[in-house]
Amino acid sequence: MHRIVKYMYRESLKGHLELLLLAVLRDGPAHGYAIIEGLRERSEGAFDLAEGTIYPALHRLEAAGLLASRWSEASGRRRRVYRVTRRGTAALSREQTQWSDFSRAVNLVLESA
Amino acid sequence: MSDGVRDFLARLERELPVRGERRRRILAEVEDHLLEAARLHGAEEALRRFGPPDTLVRGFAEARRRVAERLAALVTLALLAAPVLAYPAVERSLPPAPWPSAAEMPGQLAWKQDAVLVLFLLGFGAALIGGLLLARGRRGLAPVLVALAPLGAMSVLGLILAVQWRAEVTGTPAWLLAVPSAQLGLFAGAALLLGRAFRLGRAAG
Repeated sequence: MHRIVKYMYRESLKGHLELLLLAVLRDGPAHGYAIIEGLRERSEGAFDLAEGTIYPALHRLEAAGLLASRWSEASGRRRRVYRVTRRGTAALSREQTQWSDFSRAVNLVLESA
Repeated sequence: MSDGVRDFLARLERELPVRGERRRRILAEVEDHLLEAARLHGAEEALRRFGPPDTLVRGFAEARRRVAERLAALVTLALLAAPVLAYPAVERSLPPAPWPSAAEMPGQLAWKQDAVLVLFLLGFGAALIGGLLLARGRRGLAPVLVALAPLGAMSVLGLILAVQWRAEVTGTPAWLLAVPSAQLGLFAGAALLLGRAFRLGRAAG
C-alpha cells in the first residue's frame, strides 16, 4: 500500500474506532482482548491496529455513558468486561446511518471519477 | 510472566498520566490483555501487536487533557460569576462609609476599587471572546488563559482591597474577606487545572 494511502487508512480507522468498538460490543459483553479479536475477525484482518489503542477509546466511550464495564472473574482471572448501554445502542444506530450516507456519497464520487 | 511483558508494564506504570483507582484498573486490564495474548501467540508477538506503551500514554493523556481543559474553563466561569453573585450581599452588609462623598474616598482604596472593576470587565470580555472561539470550534488553552490573567489579578487586588477597607471602615464584617479569598481559591484551582492540561497536552504529543 502506498505510504499516503496507508496514512489515510490509519487515520480513517482511528476516526471511526469508537463506532467500530460499539459495533463489536453490540453482540454482547466482552473484555479488551476479545474486542480486538472480534474487530480483526469481522474485518477479515483488515483492521489490524495496535491493540493498545482500544483502551483509551473504551474508557472514552465509558466516560460518555455509551459503554458500561465491570470486573468479572473467570478461571481465577479478573477481567474488565464491557457492554453497550442503551445510550450506546442509540448512538451506534445514529452513527451507522450517518456512516451509510457518507460512504454512499464517497462511492458516488469515486465511481463517477 | 515474561521479562518483556514485565518491562512493558513497569514502563507503563511509570509513564501513565492517570492516578488512583483508574490507574490500577488500566494496568490490570493491560496486564490481562498481554497475558492472554502471550498465552495464545507468545510474549514477543503479544507485545508487537499491542504497540509501544506510548500508544496508551498518549491516548489517556489526550483524554485527561480534554477533561482538565473543560474543568479549567468551568472554574474560570465560576470565577467570573462569583463577584456578580456576591455583589448584592456585600453592598447590603457594608456599613456607611466615613467619607462624605465617593470623590473623597482614600486614594489607596479608590484606585484599587477602579482597578478591580477594570480587571473584571477585561476578564469578562476575554471570557466572552474565548467562549465565542470555543463555540466556533476552536480548541486550546489560549481563551481560558486570556480570561484567567485579568481575573487572577482582580482576585489578588480584591483581597488587598477588602483587607484595607476593613481597616479603614469600622464595622465592616469579617466575612467580607471570604469573597475575594474564595475568588483567589477559584483562581488557583483554574490555574492548576490549566497547568495540568498544558502538561497533559505535551504528553499527548
